[in-house]
Amino acid sequence: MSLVESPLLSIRNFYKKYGDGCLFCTTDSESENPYMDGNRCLECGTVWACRNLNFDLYQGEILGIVGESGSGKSTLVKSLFFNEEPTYGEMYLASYRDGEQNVFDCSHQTKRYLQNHELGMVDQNPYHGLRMDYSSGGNIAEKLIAADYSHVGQMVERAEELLEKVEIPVARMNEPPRKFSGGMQQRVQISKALANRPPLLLLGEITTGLDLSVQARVLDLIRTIQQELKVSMIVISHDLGVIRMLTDRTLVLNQGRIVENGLTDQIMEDPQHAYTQLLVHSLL
Amino acid sequence: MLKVEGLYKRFSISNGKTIAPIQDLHFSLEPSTSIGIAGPSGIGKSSILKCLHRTYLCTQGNIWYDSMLYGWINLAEASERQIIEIRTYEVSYVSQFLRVIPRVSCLDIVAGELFPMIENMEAARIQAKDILQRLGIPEKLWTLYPATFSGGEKQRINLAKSLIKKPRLLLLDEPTASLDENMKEKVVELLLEMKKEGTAMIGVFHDWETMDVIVDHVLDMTPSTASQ
Repeated sequence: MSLVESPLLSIRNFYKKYGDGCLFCTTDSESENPYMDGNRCLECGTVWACRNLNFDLYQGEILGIVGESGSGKSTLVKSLFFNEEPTYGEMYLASYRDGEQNVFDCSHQTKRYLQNHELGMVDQNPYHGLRMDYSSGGNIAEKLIAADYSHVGQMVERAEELLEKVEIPVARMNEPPRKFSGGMQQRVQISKALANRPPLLLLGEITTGLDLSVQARVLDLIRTIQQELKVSMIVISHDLGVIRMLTDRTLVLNQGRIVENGLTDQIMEDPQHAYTQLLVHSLL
Repeated sequence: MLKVEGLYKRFSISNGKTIAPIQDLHFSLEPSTSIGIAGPSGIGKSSILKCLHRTYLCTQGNIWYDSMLYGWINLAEASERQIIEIRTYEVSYVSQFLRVIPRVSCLDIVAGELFPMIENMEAARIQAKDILQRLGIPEKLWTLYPATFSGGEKQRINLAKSLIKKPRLLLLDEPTASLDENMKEKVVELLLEMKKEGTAMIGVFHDWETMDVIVDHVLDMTPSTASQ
C-alpha cells in the first residue's frame, strides 16, 4: 500500500436545510446560536438537518455514521445518492474526473450516470429500494440495464449469481419481493445494489426492524461482501452494536453536526464528546 | 522499536471529575523482548495497552513505534487510517473478551483476520486450522459459532485471531486468565516461539508464573513507582 492515500469520496462543507432560512440562522458558527433551538431556527422554523459536514472515505473501508433519529444521517445518505439536493456543499468522487469536480454541481444526467455506475444504495425501507410487484430478478435487471447491460442471458446469469450470494433460492427469482419476508426483501435489495459492481455502497439503517437471527445474517453478508469485493461502504445506524461489528472508523452525528469522529473502538471505549458518552452508556 | 515518552492519560467523567491512571510514563522496548506490567487492579495496566493500541486517546506524550509501513511513527498522533493499517499488519491487541460477528464459525473468524494479506479463503483456513490446533481447540468446534464456547475457548480464539497474523508487536491483556495449566503451557510455548522470531510483547498477566517465563522486564505501576 502507498504511504499517501487519496480518498475515494470526499465531502466538504455540506449543509442541508429544510425551510427558507433567515438572517438569524444562515450564518453558521460552531458556537451556540441564541436564535436556534438545537438545529431548528426559532425565528423562521427552518431545520438545519446537516451542518458543515466534512469527511473522507477510503478504498475498501467501512465508515460508520451513528446518531439518533433526527441527527441528519438519512438526509446525508440521501444526498450522497442524489435523492436530495444539498443546500451547500461539495462532493468529490475519485472515479469521476480524478476527484476534481464537485459532483453536486453536475447535471442531472451526470448524477444519474454516477448513480447507475458508481454507487449502490440500500434503503432502510425495502419498499423504497425495490419495486415490490416486479420479480426479484427483474429488480436486479432494472439496475443492470441502467448500468448498460443489454444481453439478456448475461443479465439472468448475473441475477442468479447475486441472489445466490445473498442466499435467496434461485428458484424464487421470478417471485416479487412483496411475497418475501422483511429479511429476504432486504437481501434482495442488497443484491440489487451490488448488481452494477459499484465501488461505493451506501447502507441506511438496513438492520432496523429485522429480528436478531436475520440481522446476524445480513451483517455477515455485508462483511463477506466487503472482504471479497473490496467495496467501500458507508453504514448508517442508530445501533452502536451494528457499527461496532462492521466498521473501522465512525462519525457521530448530533443535531446535524459531526460531534466526534475516530476509530470505532476508540469511540466506543474512550468517547470524548458528552453526546457520544451518552450513546455509549445507553448501549445494552 | 517502541519508545514511550511522558505518557499521560486522563478521563473526564461526569460532574467535572477526572481519573488519571497514567502519569508521566516512560519506557522502551526492543524486538524479541517483552515487558510485563504489574500493579494492583484498577491502577491502569490495561489503559497502557489501550493507549498503545489507540483504543484510548492519550492526553499527552509520545508513543514512537518503528513501523514497517511508515518508519518511526508517533502512534499518539498518527492518522486513523495509518493506525488501521498498522493494526492490520503489525500491532495486535489480545483482549480479555471475544467480540465477533454473530453466526460466523470460529474457523472463519480466525481465517478472516488474514484477509487483507491472503485473498484466498481456503488458504487462510489452512493457516487458521493450524493455529487453532496449536492452541488446543478441538476440531469438532471449528465449524461452530463461538457464542456458546467456554471462557477459556473464547480466550484462545482471541489469541488465535491475533497470533495468526504474526504481529511485530503484541499487546496482551491477561491472555491466560481463564486457562487451565495444560492450555497455559500451549499458549506460553507459542508466545515464546513468536518472541524468538522477533515479536515484541507488552502484557498484563494474571499469574506470576506465566509472567516469569515470558517477560524480560517488569513495569511496576504500584503508586509512587509509576515509572520503570
